[in-house]
Amino acid sequence: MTLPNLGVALTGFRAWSKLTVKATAAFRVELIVSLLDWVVPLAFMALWNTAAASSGIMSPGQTTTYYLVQLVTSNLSLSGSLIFGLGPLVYSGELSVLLLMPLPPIIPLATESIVNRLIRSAPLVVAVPLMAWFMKAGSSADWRSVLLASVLGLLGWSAATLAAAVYALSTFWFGKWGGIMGLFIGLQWVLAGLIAPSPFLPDWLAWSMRLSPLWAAQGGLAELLSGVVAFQWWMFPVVLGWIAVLLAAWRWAWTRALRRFEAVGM
Amino acid sequence: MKTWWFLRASWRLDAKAAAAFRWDSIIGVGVSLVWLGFAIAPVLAAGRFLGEGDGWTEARLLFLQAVWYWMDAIMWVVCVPNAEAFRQEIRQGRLDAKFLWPANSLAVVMLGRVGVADLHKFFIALGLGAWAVAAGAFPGSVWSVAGFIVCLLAASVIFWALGVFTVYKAMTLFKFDGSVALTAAHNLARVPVGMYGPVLRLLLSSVFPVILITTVPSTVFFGWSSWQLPLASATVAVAAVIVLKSAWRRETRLYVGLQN
Repeated sequence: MTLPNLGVALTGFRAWSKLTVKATAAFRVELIVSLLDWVVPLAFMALWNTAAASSGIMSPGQTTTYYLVQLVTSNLSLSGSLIFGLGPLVYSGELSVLLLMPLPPIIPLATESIVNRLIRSAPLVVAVPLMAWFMKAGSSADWRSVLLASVLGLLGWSAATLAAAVYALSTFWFGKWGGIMGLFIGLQWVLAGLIAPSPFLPDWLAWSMRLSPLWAAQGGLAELLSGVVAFQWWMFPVVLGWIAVLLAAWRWAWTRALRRFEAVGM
Repeated sequence: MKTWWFLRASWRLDAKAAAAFRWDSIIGVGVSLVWLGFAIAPVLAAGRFLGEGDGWTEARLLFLQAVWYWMDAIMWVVCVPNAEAFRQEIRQGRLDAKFLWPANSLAVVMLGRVGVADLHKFFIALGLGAWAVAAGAFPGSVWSVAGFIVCLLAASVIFWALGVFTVYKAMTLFKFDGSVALTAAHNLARVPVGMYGPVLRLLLSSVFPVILITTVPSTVFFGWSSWQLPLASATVAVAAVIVLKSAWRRETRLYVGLQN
């Protein structure tokens, strides 16, 4: 399948957004409970605040900033929704209906995830500044770094979403093994810097993270904003290169995945 | 006695079903080991910088991870399969039949299923614990080990009770799903509660006693805590079951069966 017409994709995005907002609003209690999704970065923040105090690599204030950025970006990540969302569509046969629409089925799925993520992350707008103040978050980044980091983070988010979308296609081959599908999330924990900021890790692992498509959206953005690393010229080409590669990979894999789809008979 | 008979029959059925899908179990062991790597990676990385600090060395943190992984096993072997079966039975109307069985409904509904494919997680947890001890996370004394076993069993019961609390309301509120609360408690228990800031530390030690899940069993094992802690853990576990039984009874009275 080729890339969709931009106008059609935007119309689809708008319509699906409205539908998702209405559906989410109908389950307000679920929305409140889902706030507990926050806790993984908080647990690792506690561990690294303790470790950073005696490391001399980052100050506890910087690790706090790092993990608060991780808190926001990991909540905005679409990986889980795409990887675990496509399988049920395939195996329930709902994908057949979506295939009749004039846009790739990943667009309704991604739209639903984006809207859900934005709604669920809304309380962070209040919580993160409060936590930053209360936990004495610190940063040595200047305004130029903040601006460049924001652009890099946005591009990184696109690369990470594309990587998850490409991986999600493997559901057509072994989607019934949820454990294998979930490995992407584990890999993301490492490569996106959720388990540790890259300066604390051995060089080979730190560079594997930095050169992966998953780092810029979370760990890279967090390191730049906390001032642990300064902006470097190679960061943009790496992310842009991954976006190009992953777009090509998506187009190549989608047609092959679709050939394996037997509607409700899978 | 009848409850035990029903549970045994149900577990046998699950074991036979799992035996038919051996390949899934083999893949499951591989996936669990990879995930274990992701879970202990932060501790191994942070351990190089922790020193002796508050006593939480790399080896002791590894031991805490072993306790955490034991709770992961409880979650996937007991909590998740029973919660999924419970929701499905409500939707399909099969829960009504279980209430007619001459046995304790809470036990047969919430302990009747076993995630056989994830049973290996218990052995991985024991292996990780042994590794941590070999690396230097030694027990305080024989009494510390005994106290630890009491705390671990109590923590397992508390965790299971929390799992039931996050799902039992689905009997009357069809769409209710609080499983994220169980996952949150589980994730917060990844690190010793003492490492959190003052507010979270207070919350996790009192209002939401996450401290009992991994921190207390580990500190008792190292001999850092007094003998009252195992007793307190066991008391909380018994209290949790009593409250759960009462809540379950009230909910079953409101359950309207197939009309859901």
